[in-house]
Amino acid sequence: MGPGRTTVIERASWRTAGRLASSFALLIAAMLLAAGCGSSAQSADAAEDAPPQKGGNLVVGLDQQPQCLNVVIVCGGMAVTSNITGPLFDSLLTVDAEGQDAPLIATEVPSTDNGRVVLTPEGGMVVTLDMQPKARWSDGKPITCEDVVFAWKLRMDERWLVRSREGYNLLSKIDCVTPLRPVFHFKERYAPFLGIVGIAPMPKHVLDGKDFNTFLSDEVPISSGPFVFSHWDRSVEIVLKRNEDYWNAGNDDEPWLDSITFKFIPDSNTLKIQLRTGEVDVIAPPPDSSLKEELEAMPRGSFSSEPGAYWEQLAFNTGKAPLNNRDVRLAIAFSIDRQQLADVVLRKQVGVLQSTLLEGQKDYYLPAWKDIKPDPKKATALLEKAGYTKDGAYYAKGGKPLTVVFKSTAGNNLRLKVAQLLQQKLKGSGIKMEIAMEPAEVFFGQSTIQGNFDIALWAWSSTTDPSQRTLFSCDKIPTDANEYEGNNYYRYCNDEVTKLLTKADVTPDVGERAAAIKQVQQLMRADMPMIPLFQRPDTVAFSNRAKGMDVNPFGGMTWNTYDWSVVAK
Amino acid sequence: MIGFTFKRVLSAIPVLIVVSIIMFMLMKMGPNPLELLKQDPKFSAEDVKRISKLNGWDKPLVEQYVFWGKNFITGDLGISTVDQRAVWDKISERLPLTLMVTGLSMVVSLMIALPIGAYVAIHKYSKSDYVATLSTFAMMASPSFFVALLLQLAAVKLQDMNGGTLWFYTGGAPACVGAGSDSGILKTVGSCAMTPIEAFRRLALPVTALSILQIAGWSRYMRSELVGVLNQDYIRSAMAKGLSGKVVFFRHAVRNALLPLVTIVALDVAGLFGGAVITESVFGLPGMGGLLLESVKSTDIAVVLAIVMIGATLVLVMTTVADMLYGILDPRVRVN
Repeated sequence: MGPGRTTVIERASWRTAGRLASSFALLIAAMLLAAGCGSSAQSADAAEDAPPQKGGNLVVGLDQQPQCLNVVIVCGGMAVTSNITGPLFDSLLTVDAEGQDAPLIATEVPSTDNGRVVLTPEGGMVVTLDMQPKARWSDGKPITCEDVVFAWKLRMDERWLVRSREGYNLLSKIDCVTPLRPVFHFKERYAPFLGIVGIAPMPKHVLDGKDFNTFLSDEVPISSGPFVFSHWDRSVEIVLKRNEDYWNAGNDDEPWLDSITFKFIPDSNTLKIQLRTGEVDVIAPPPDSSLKEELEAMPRGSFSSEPGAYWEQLAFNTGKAPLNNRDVRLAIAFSIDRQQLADVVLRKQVGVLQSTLLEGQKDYYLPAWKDIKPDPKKATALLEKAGYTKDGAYYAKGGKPLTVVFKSTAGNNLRLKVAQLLQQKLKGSGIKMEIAMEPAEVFFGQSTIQGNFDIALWAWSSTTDPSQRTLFSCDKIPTDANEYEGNNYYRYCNDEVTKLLTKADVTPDVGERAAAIKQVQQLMRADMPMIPLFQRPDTVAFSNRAKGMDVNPFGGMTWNTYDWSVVAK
Repeated sequence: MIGFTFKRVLSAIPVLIVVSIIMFMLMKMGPNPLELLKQDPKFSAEDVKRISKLNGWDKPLVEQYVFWGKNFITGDLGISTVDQRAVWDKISERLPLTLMVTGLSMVVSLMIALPIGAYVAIHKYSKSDYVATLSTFAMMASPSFFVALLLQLAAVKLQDMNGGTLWFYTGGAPACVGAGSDSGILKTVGSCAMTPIEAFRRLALPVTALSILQIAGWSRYMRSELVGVLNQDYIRSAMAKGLSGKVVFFRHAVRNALLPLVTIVALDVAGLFGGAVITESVFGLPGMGGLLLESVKSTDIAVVLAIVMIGATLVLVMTTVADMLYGILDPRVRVN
């Protein structure tokens, strides 16, 4: 190596080195965290017992930094932006501790049962909400229906780089019957309406006439949540201060902290080290095989972990041979051991997922895949039924061995482990699997959209709403003709499923909608266009001085900052 | 000298144009970054089309390139398509930290590497030479991320030994660099100089991590060049003339041995602008390396092109400077 070539070499080989780094880093981080093992549970209990006190600053370490602070436009699409700005903007509806929809500025969650959702004879629907009269912006001005209408109009304005208008474009108008009663008029029936009517009001008196593409990029001059924006030292930290006039203060929603500092450290191992040294108080490390052991061994800290909103699944390309044959897909399903995958890859941090919905989506959840267990005899029978015969180590048809190409994102150790285990299992069943890990940009930007895979592994993110039409209906298969619209990368088409998914999306009644969605689960289990694997665990680790953190898969890391506090030394 | 500089500037123009065209085409060959957003079911093909149009990505490639080129020539680096901020603002808020870290590491490395290289050259095949050789090989064989992690481990151990007092931060930038583009580069560096202890505690580990590889490499170069020079006839002649050992060593030997290092260091000075991706990442430093990486990933063409073009310009400038320095260090070389 020549002298002084450090930076050049770093730039040239950062990708390869990054992969090596993650392996070494895990080892070193584990050593660091294990050094001086203390009784984490005991000290955490002591902190838990102390009543929350007002005051103090909590430092949250994040491995990403936001590109801007406006969650509505394209640059605000990262999860980190929502986590940081979440405590600044209360919305009409929120997610409670159980991950269910709950009122916040609105007085109750609208439904057909409570008469707030009315279906019109013309095929549309009208949703009425009432807003809490005590809701106030941090400058003392009341939060009114005008702010709700303004928030919708911002999203529909052609000038702004709005991320998505899905659902908002189905509103014909929002009437302000009174200053605190918005009435949402949908042009058509739209079952995921809660995500639309639960909108966060935007301060018309502040934003009107401003350039929405840039105004909230660097700072947020006003708040409706428990904290207000203090400052953003680009790439270093963002600081929020307590909203002294928080409209919902008192009861349980007391903002206890004086301030929250979000610090940006891209390397997740460094974050763990910083939690160990006390440089940060809270981190949300990405899932990893050894994460649980590492955090358990950490002195002066504790952690909370729950199955998260992201769920990994094995996707089959049903649009081309050999996986256009249902029997081959079923044979693969009966060849793999999902329990073993979850146990080995995530060391029993989560269980096997048995549905395309999560258990948290209580009304709609059906564990339709629970009978899919390893059964080599069944797998063999299915392959023979599909016309394959054993030729040496592998099954073959017409002289060609049964070969499938597996693709996923490079640099993700969990997915690589899944691929390797899968390859072993399929080899045992006489199926040859070739692994091709690709950069995320290529995998998501080309391979999945264009169907250049046989088996692929990626994760979907769920919300409280169970709509999955864009994932599995026939009209959502991305093609050149539809300009690659839709997320049905499976190329899966079952008219009955499409019909039921469409019905589910236009049926606001929960019971009726749940029946359709459960039927879809059963049909998909039979067709097997994909196999759900497991939910990625959401983990929040915190120092002993931090209190009140709780994992909420649908709410994000900062869903309950009003409960956060620090224990006085 | 002026004629030489003028010729070099003229010859640099086509190089820069070619570099910009290649980079532009490479960036455009990748997938539309908005396609990635389509993984979110709420993001439709209509959204991709709408936002692409607002960003001007629906126009012909030549038109896009000419538009960028015209602005670049007039000093307008453009607007980031990711967050709609001026590209220069983004660069200037990252540059001070990068220059501090990479610049300090270069100074530290030179200050350590040159004396070590010179010492072991004079004492070649001695115990100290073998120790230095072994150490430098070990240092060169250690990737920067590994060195960085070991340094973090050392900081944690030191904290434990000091009853919980943390001497060296394991990551994060000093508060003085946070104000970014509003402060300007010089003001930021000045502000850090006003809080030297905090800046030192934050930057000690990354500067050390970066320096280790440079010290290893440069000291080896210095040693081998100097060993070669010290065996030259003219050195023996100088000694035979009765010149003192110091004069021979510093005026005749070191001066000649430095010639190859000048080129290497000059190119590395140009490389300071690009930052150090891995070290920045491990220590959570928001520098230029990270900005380039983020911008490539999000196909933020204006930012990538600006960084590459400034980097390419600096390389051309520094090679010219190196050529001029040759003339100063070695009277035999006459720049014409």
